[in-house]
Parts: sequence; C-alpha cells; structure tokens
Amino acid sequence: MKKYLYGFQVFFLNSVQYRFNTVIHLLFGNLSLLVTLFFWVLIFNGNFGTSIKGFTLSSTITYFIVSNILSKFTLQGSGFYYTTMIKSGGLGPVLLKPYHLEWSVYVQQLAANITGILPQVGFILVALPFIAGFLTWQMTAFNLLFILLFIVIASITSHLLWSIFGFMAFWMEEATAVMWSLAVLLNMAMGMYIPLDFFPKGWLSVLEKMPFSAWGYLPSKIYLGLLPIEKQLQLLWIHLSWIVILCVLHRFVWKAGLKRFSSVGG
Amino acid sequence: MKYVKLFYAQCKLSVMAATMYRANFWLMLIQSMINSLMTLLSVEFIYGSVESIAGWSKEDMIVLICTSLIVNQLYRGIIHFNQNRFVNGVGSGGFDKLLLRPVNLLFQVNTGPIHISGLLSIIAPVIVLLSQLSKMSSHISATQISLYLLFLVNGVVVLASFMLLLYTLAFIFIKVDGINNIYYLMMDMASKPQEMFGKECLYGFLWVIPAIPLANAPATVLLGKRSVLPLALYLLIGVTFVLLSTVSLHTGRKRYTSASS
Repeated sequence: MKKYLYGFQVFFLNSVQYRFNTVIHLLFGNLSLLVTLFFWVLIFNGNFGTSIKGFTLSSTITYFIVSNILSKFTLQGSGFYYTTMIKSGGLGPVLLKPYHLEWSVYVQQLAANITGILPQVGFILVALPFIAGFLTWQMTAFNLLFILLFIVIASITSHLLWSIFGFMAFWMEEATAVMWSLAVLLNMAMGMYIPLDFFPKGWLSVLEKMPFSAWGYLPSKIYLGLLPIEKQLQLLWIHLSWIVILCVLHRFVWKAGLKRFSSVGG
Repeated sequence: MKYVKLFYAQCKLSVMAATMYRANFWLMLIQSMINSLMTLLSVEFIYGSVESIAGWSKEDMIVLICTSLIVNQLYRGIIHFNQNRFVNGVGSGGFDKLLLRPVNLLFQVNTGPIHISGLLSIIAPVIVLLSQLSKMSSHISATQISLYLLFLVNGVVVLASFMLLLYTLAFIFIKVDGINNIYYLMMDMASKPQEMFGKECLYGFLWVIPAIPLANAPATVLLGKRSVLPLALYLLIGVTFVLLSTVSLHTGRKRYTSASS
C-alpha cells in the first residue's frame, strides 16, 4: 500500500510545481461552471418559482455544482494512459515492474483527479457566500452514505470502462479519435451538459441503469432528494453488478490484448 | 504571395500526413460529427421544455452554436496547435529555429502543420448551418451573408490574437498551458447569447475577455437581430488585439534567452 500512496504523493506534488500555471488553472479552470449556471438562469428567465422537468432554478444550479465536483471521480485518464503506453511501447517495461499495474493506474488517476477537485472546491467555497441563498441544501445522513457509495462505484466503473476503451489500442493503429468521441458521448450520457431528465421520455429509464449515470447524475439527484430510497437501493445493486461485469470484461480484453502486444527497443 | 504559397504547402503536407492512416482519418471525421451533434442535441432537448431563451429561438440558437463551432474549429485546426508549439518552444529552446528562418515571426507562430481533425470538425456545423439557412433563405440578404463571413473571420482573428497575447507570457513564466482554460472558457461563453453577460459586464467581455465578437457578432448580423453594440466596434477589437499581440510577441522575443545548448 505504501508504494501506491507514494505514487499518489509524487503525482500530486508534480501537479502544483509551476505556480503561475497552478494559479491560472485555479482561476479559469472552474469558471466554465459559472457560464453554465448563468446560461441556466437565462433558460429559467431568472425565475426561482418555475419548475422544468421537476427541476427548479435552485435545484438546477445545485445539480450542476454537485455533479461538476463529483464527476471528477470519473477516471477518464485511465483509458488515455493505456492508449499512450500501448502505442509508445512503454507498456513493456511497466509490465516488468513489481507492482500490480491496474492498481497503480487507478491510484495515479485518482490522485490526478483529486488534484482537480481541490481548486474546484476552493473556488466554490469562495463563491459560496454569494450563491448560498440560491442553492438547495438537502443532505441527510442516509443520502450522504449513498452519495459516498456511488462516488466509490463511479471511480471504479469509470476506471474499468475507460481502461477497456484504452485497450482498443492493442488492435487499432490510432485509438485517440475514438476515445475522444466516446468521451463526448459519455459526458452527454452522464448528464454533464444537461440533466438526464431533460432527455426524451424513455431515455432516462435506460440511461440511469448504465454505469455512467453514477459518474455525476445519480449522486447529484440523491443530494437533491429527487430519488426515492427504494429507487436508490435498486440502482445501487445495478451499479454494483456493473463492477462485476466490467471486471470480467476488463480481464478478458486485457488478456486478449496482451497476446497481440509487441514492443521494440530496450 | 510568398506566405500564401507557404501556407498552401503546409496545408498540402498536413493533408498528406493525415490521409496516410485512412482508418484514423475516417474516425476523425466521425468524431467531428459526434462532437457537433451532441452540442446540437443538448439544444434540442433544452428547447423541448422552453420556447425561447432571452429572445433566441431554437433556430437562432442553432445558428449561434454553429457559428461558435466554426470559429472554434478554424482556430483549433489552423492556429491553436502552432501557438502551443511556440509556447513549448520557448520552454525547450525550439523557439530558436523560428528566429533563424527568413519568415515573418508572427506568421510562423500562428501557422504550421494543420490539425486536420480540428479542421474536419467544421463540416458538421457548416452542414447544419446551411440547412438552417435554407429554411430562412427568404429573410437573409446577400449583404447579411457577406457581413457574416467578415465577422466570422474577425472572430477567428480576435481569438487567435487574444490567445497569442496570453501565450507570450511564456517568455516570463515558461509553463503557461493553464492559459488553455481561458480558451475553453471563451468558447463556452461564445456559444451563449450575449444577453447572458448583462449590460454591466458587456464591455468586459469585449475588451478583457473578448468572447462576444467570436460568434455573437456574426450570428447577430446573419439573423438580422438588433445589435446592442455598433458593428464597427467588433472590427476595432480585432485590429486592437492584433496590434497588442504583435507588440507583445516582439517584446517577449527581446527577453528570450535560448534554453537549448
């Protein structure tokens, strides 16, 4: 465990090495959230009494803030890591190292994403005195427990699914274009652009059962108190099952891919 | 003429390199379609619940978003990649090469290899925009279309020169890739109606972070919407940022000490 924690520490410190760059990241990396919020204020015409698809302006603002933070536990980088390593041949030496590669990539990506959360949380804390009145405060201990469970599930399923996408590089000359297309599709399907409730009827019941709904949409809905307990339990089982399914698939694709892998050089 | 030939040669080489891997080329094309379709799908879903947003109908919003996508992809395809190469060059010493060549520095910093995937991404918004325009053709005059194209080019010029102005900070701070966040932010703002900024902040989004001239200006002209600002102001912003970025680049060059051996 110590070596994984050390990897976490090194990656974290690396990310804040250049001060000017860190400050710029801090300032501007989070402002797009404000743009989204202002756009939704415009959609609601600034009216806090109006409700669209079960969302008031207040709950919409809260939804985007919460889902934006929680989506940082989506380990998209795992897929791009594998693609780069496979394509460059860097996977060979890494396979020889005395640690479990899968765990190492997971911890490394988690560190990178947590580094991304900290400035975002800091930014929201600074803005909080000004926006607190517009937010929905709906936290119960039970909801908090479920949110935490869904965060853990999100980090695992996103890591597994993105890794599987990354393994495409074993078969393809260049997988980055496909990866970016998938990133856009999944961002849409996880409710990053608009809550899934705004999708046409029938889409929601399918999408909420998919692994990516846990990557931001479901925990945010739980926080807003818009998901009954029975539904939360039902979805929890479905998403736990996804971990098992993705683990099996991950192992299968990894083994098949390794058989095709060849690297040149020493 | 020399620069036109040079630019043409760069385009030709980039296209040849990109089409060498045909499967990847087609995948890039599909990716571009998906990107644009997802953005337009979001608009479709939102307008399923509301009729208009700050006076912009669904059709107006599609024109605005397509315009913002076109400006963005033109910049991303032709300029952004090369500006990033310049920033990395300042840190690694690669900038030396640009100084040695008998070609204008501003031209070299802004042009070079073409990012084909970025450029291909124009196809989808252009098709959507044209189909949208064909529905509205009776209301649009040739003057509006000409002005639209002028402001579209002006939008790319504003974006490119503003970003270059920021990237010249690399001469002082070396690693400035965080500035890319400002680019993403600007493009995010550009695809939203200018009414979002409020009258109080309007001038800030013209002169400090010039997001309004990028897509709102051309879209407003094309749709025949009443502009809250005189149109010549957008062109003045373009000229100002070109001058500022040129001065900043040459000032930075004087500060530059090579990083390579």
